[in-house]
Amino acid sequence: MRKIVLCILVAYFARAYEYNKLLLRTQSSLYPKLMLMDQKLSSHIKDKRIDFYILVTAIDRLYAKYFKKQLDRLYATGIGGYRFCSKIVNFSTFLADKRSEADAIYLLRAKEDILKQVAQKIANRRDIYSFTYEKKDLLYGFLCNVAIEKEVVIYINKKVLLRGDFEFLPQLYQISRFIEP
Amino acid sequence: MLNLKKSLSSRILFYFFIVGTTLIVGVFYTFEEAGKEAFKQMEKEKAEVIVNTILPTIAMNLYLGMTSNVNKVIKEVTKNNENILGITIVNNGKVVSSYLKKDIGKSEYFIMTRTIKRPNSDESIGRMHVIYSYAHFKRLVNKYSKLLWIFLFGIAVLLILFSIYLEQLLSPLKQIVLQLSNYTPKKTLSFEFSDREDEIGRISRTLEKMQQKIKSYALKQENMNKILEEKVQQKTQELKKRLYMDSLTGLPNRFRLQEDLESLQDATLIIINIDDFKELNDLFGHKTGDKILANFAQNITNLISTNYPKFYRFSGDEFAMLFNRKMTKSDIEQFLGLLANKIENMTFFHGDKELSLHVTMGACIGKDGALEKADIALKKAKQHKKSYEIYKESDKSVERQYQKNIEWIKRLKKSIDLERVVPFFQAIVNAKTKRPKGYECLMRIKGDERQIHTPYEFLEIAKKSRYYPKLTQIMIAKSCQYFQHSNCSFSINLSILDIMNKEIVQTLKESIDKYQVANQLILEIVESEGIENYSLVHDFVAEMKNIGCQIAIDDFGTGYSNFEHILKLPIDYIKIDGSLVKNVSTDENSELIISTIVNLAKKKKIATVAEFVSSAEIYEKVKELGVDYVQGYYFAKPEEHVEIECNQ
Repeated sequence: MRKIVLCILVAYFARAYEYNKLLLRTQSSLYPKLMLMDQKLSSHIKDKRIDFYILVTAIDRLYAKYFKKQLDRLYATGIGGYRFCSKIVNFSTFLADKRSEADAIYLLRAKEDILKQVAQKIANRRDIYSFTYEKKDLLYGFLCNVAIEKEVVIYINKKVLLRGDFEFLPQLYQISRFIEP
Repeated sequence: MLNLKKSLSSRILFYFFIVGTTLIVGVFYTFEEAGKEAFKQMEKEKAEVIVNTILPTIAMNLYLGMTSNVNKVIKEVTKNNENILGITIVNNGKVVSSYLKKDIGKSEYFIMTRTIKRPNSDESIGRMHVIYSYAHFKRLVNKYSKLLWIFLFGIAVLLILFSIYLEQLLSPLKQIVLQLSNYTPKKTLSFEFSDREDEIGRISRTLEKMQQKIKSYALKQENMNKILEEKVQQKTQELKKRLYMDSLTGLPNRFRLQEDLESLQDATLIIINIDDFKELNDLFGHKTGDKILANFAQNITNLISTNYPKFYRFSGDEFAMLFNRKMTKSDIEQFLGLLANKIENMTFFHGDKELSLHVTMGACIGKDGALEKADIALKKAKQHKKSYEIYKESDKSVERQYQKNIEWIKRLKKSIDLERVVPFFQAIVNAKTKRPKGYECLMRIKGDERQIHTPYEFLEIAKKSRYYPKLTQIMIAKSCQYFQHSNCSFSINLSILDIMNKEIVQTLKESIDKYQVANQLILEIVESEGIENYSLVHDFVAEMKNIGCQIAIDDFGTGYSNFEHILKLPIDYIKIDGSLVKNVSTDENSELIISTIVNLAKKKKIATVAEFVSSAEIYEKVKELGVDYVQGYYFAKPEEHVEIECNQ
């Protein structure tokens, strides 16, 4: 009986950490494109290569791979004249790396303190694009999230947007919703 | 039909109408077209604005793959904008999103296509087709057209009002023209617009002033016309007087006589001719002649105390007396005798010389053809050397002869003009050998029907006419031309009249010279007419002989010529008169005369020619009498064409 209860609990928690693959596919499709909406992208990417880091905890590595696979499939030939290079990086590695070359980071689920640290780390960099899997994670200080509600919705953190050195196309603002923490 | 040429106001209004209508139609079409174009452009721009507004959003959504957003956008835009009938988004040949209104099929529209570019790039990611309706455009155009029509209608109304105003403005001119059209210098027109200050008023005032001037001028003109009319009447009277009055004697003239004759129911007419008045003129001069005529007229007028007979001057020395009734023969004879006696007893003075006049009179009893008949009677009296004659019905023959003479004069002229005067040639034969020695050229005239007229018919008339010299000249020229290449002699008849005529003599000399016929030519001078001026004839004969011509005396033995004078002329031939020759075989006197002539001729060594030899008997007789040459129908008739080779 105990084993049964334990399995149910494990399954329950496991499901709690389960990722929506449709959302992953949508986000993998949109996030690089959203980067191209920034008219200052060329000033941020000097080497003509977009280094897109997928920040992940060990437990979600499988989904990170799935996400990367989607990215690599979609942007194998590059995007908007830029070569596209995705990389799965642990949160701890990213936080430990003092000279990170990431142009954009994508955050899968993580603990609140880790997310705060990451947010703390990129706050000094005004040219890094930060995307989240979870909409609520934006509130920690990340730039953009794509969610699937009744339709696909783009959320932008107004504070991060204003703090950063971005100049997105006005049309993007028209179709996006802003979050003000 | 509007007569534009006659009315200035009609013309102005007509052209105003034309210009106005053209302007309205032109403005309407120009503005309508321009408006349509502008509205169309406006609609396109509107569509452009809409497209440009939604295109970035759609591009963004399409690029991001947010097709539901795209759908949402195009649906909202299409719903919110009635002019947009539908939007279709195509990507890679596939319709990504499309929204079309249901009633699209009924509408007229245009499609605007735009390339959808990736945001922040020129990369094409699809096409957007916007179906835009013309409905709004049409509504606008209709509204605009309506407004334009109202505007143009307003303009048209204004133009009509202006036309009416113009018509009213010009109507005074029409009235003035109407008034002027009935104007005569005797009328005084009053123009109601003369108190106006404008041009119409000035025209009216000027016309009134002009009217006054014309009136005074017309008055003057009228007076002048009256004077002129009086003058014309005076002159007409004078001319009439001149026409009907003889200026020398103051007597009525021939025209008056003719009119008086016509006005009378019956009449008796006498024509009075003063005998030998020409000589009187030549002797004393025309001035004296005129004075005598005037005195004569006065004396006769003094004899007449009553209205009739009326006395007229015809012309020159001819006068007439007209009775207004038909007199008996005995009465008129008595009157004529009395008048002749009175005239003969009249004395006229020229200086210290006393002159008396003799007159010949012709009278006609009755009105019909009185002038001609009295004239015939006058001629008859002259012929018979009587002081007067009264026309009788038997005198008609004279009248006929008179007519015939006139016809012959015409015929002579025609014959000369048409070259119908021709020489005929009659052979002159050697009495011994009977062979032609030469020809006598005889004048003939060919008639209209080719008949031949001999001089017997026309010579006497011709001599009295001005055509006689021309006839002789033709004969001379044609005869000389005919014998120019002949060895025959040929003779031409010349009268004393011909010899006296310088032109004829000149023609004769020229023809002889031209055709070189001097040695063949024999000039036959007619003796029977009586030669008076022998010295002239002698000179002529001498000159012709000198040239080489021979001379013959024609019709010798019958004339009144002085034998002595004739025989002194250097003549070559004597042509014995035909009247002697034709009786020679029966009349001893003729035989004796011919025998004497021949003997005389032989002594003078002059050859003799016997004319009118018409039979063998006559021929034998004249031959026996010693005549050298013979001529007559026994040998040959006159012919138009003869053998021109002769035995001399």
